[in-house]
Amino acid sequence: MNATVDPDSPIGREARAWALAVSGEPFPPERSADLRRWLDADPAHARAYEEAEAVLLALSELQSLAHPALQPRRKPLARPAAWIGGVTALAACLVAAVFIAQPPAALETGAQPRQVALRDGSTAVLAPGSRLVPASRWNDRRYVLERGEAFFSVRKAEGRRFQVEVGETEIEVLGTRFDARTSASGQVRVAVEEGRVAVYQGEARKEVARLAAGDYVLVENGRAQGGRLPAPTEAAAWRAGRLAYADAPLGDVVADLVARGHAGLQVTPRAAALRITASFQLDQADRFIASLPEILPVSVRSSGGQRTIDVRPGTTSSPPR
Amino acid sequence: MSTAERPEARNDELWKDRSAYRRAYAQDWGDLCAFLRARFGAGPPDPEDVAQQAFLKLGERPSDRSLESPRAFVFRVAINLTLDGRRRRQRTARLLDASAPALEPDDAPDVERALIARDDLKLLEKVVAGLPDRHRRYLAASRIEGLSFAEIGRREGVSEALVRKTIDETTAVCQRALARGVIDYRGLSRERNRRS
Repeated sequence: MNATVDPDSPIGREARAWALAVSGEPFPPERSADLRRWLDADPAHARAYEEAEAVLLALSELQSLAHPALQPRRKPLARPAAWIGGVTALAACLVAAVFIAQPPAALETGAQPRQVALRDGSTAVLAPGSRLVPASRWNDRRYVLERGEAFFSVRKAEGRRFQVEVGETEIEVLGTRFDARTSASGQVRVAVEEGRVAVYQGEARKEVARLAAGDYVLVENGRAQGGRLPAPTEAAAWRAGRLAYADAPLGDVVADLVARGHAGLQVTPRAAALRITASFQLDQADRFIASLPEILPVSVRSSGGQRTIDVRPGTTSSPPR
Repeated sequence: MSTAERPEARNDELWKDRSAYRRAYAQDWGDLCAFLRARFGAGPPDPEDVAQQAFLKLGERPSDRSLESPRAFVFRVAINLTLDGRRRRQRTARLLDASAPALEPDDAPDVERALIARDDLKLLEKVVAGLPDRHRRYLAASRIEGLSFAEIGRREGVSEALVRKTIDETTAVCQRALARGVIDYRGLSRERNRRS
């Protein structure tokens, strides 16, 4: 009837012994493995263990145990408010731990870039149309770049890793300045302005690149292709109002322009797959768009407020590389 | 100089500034991650993240508090963080499933059991208040100061086995009180058995 395991039963006694061992004895990984086997052996084991553990946790938060000196003067039980209000130092610390661990709030930008302070003291500058989400309530140095592009200035923190997940790609640093971009096509680009960056790929976390200042890598469909920037400061040229692409799908360029206020711009799927290497000032975007037919086999059609980029009639639909 | 009379200048020292912090990190990090994985599985929350958070909490603590051993502290904080994370997840899952009929009827009691209710804490206060001095002293050394059984034994001049037995008895009294609602100190060993 009662879900509680009798603390005086053999299982109850053994569970208590385990919980006590965790709290007061050396507990190397081998013992953890033994504990797991014991917990798995019987559902009652796990239940009994959780109950013993809960009691030990609760005992750590007792006012009368933390401040026995208060006891002889007056029975604290006569004043229930004393223990409700007077939280022990340890309990206060626990509460703080739980409060800091708030649900992660997403950082988003519209048509304007935005500089944001990250929880660990690092900063990120988000490009227009970007979305950065803390990955974990428990770790203030792990983020997911869900959309767009961001330039990170990562503070060193006692050897703790700073991680950014971009699609299937994971970027890991200790303290550095780097740029991460995810494009509409799924292409991921990581470029480093300062320090060192490791880039991993996929579930198996295979290391696909180790970058130093001035290096960049493009990751697409699990394949990585590295290269050198003209200068390390070009890692995030977009911050200076310039967009730069190396072998990027035209669709990604268009998506970036749309995110930066060129709302009337469209691209047909066939044209979006075409590859382009280009660099231009954002305020020259209209001239860049007008010049596209000189670089690629495309036409730009205007009607109303809309401009549509399409593949020129007569050209093959398979994208040239 | 005893630890009670630390120089003034060290009063605002944080745990992360002490050499013991790096030592604890090196010694206990692997143990803690292995334990969290064994106790709670792979997550979420991710065991390494939780361990990280627990060590951060330790690092930010003033080092002059009544916390002598960091190991028990990071273990306890990590367990609490994981339990709290799980509770939140379950609650969120239930909210999201609000339109669907409850799939697991015993989900809710499980969540409740994880929390020690306020009444139960009051009952535990009462149990602790009535403990023999030795039992309360050992319990405080373990639960508040975070000392290991071996460390308590050294400080009290008794065997580690006696410390373990004493705290085991005390915990059992607490468990019985919670299970049956009655405080019964029978079964606690007498002080005169103390040896060195």
